[in-house]
Amino acid sequence: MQRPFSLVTPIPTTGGAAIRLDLVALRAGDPAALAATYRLHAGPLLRTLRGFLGSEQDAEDVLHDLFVGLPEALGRYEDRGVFGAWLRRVALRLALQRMRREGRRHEVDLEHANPATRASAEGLPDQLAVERALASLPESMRTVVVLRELEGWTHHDIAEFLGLREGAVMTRHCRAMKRLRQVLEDDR
Amino acid sequence: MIGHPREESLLAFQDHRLDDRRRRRLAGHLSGCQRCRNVVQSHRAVRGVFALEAPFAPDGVLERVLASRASGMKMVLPVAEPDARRHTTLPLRSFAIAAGALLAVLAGVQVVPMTPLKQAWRSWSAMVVDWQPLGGRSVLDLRYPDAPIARAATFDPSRIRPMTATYLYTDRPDTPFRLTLTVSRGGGEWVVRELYGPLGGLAVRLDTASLALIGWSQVHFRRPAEPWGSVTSLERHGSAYTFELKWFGEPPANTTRTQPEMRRSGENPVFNNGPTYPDGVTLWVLLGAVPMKLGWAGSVTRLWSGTEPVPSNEYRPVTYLVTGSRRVTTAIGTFDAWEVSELAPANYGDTYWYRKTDGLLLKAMYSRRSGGEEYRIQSVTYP
Repeated sequence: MQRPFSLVTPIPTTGGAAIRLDLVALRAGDPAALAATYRLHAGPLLRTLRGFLGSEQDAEDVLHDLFVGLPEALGRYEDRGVFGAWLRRVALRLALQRMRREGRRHEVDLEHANPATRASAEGLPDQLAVERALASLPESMRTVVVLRELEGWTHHDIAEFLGLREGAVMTRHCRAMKRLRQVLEDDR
Repeated sequence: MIGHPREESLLAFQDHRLDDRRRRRLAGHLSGCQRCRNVVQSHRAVRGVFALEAPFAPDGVLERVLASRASGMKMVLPVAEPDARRHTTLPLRSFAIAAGALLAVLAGVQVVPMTPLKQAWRSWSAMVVDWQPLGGRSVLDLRYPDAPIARAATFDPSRIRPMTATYLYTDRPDTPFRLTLTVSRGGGEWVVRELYGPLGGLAVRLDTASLALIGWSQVHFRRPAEPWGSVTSLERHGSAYTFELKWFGEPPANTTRTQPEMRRSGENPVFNNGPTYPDGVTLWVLLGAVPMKLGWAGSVTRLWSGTEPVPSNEYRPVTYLVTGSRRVTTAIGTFDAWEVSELAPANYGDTYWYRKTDGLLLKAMYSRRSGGEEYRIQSVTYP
């Protein structure tokens, strides 16, 4: 299945060169390397985590925990050029742990969210409206649609990750997309 | 009236998941149906929003991260290698659950030899006396100087989750009984507690703050021939029993749990050394396994004791192999499962089925010379 979009956003330095991942320095816990990695990956990660967890605060907490533990966790990572995908997977696993540990929470907390990028292209709905609608979804639907639409996972992978049947994942995905589109249609 | 395709079909169409015939048919419908075209357009609008560039993460979180690390904070992350070539825990065999059936104890240890470990349960301390490589991880033998011998294998701590799992063990068709385990978390610890089963109210705590969770372990008791506990409550559920066992006191060193003598007349059952399974009873409940893959093989040494087929107190290697992948139907549903076969020692050839998503033991078949036994999961609930 074709991924609808890319989540990696290279951030150029003032010198114009993209920041590259320095695994050696990162494994050593070098603060500068950790900060560079954060700036490279944290934005999309935070958006996914916020969507997945339904809470800005929870998303930031998981992001914090992820990067605190990252240097040591890299001891078990083999660099095959898939660091971003590996990192997202770890982040989502961390988020799932938190979700299951703390029970179901439903929180629409976008007031303190990072300012959303307003859609500049004509005809695109307000990103904040979509994020509000996403946050209002039941957790069972929200987690599936985030993994599918933000992370590009297959239904099979989502089913394995969440411990669901593939059919249930498809149903939840469909229901979530239906709700999201209906919110946007009402918004117009 | 022209029927409209379901929303699921419209999504599948956009994701190129329809076969050619259905795709052409749906495309034909869309060409003449404004309503459905509007739905597709709305889907694309939603996806267009998701495709927008994510904003930068706030520097406030980064500052917290750096401050946390500077203060010495540690976080153990649920890590998986990118190609999922993980090494798995091994199911160790379960003998008759009745007698000294044991709780699956998840032991958190650092893989360092001869390191004293604090076991929160009963304040016993344990020493790592041996370890073996097991597909890249280590299987540890833990010896408690003043308590039972335990053994740990490795697993993925990220997969453990709070739950209550009930297993039904059919030792004999007319005397099945049920084991219920709960896994809960509190105060930085995982607690595995056996609610109903041969061990009664025993619990195991796993300190995850100072010890990395690496797996579950077998706790094997030895004891001279005298009663060591009593069942204080017993409930009958059809042909199954649930009961709670209270220890008379702390089991002395080298105590062995053996087959309890089940009495159905209403008399309070008392456990004593029965002859049925002289090598003790072990129950392995795998909670949270690293992802397995077909063809994976590994071995672990385990303590063999008793009179047959081998002499007591001998460590022997047991080899396990992931031999298949299949859908397994259980009382809690149908799941994709790894089939794991025990290849050695001779005469057993037990088979286990573990749910792929989290390593939960769904079913086990114990093939003994005298016949087959089955152990299967009956229920799981998550808080």
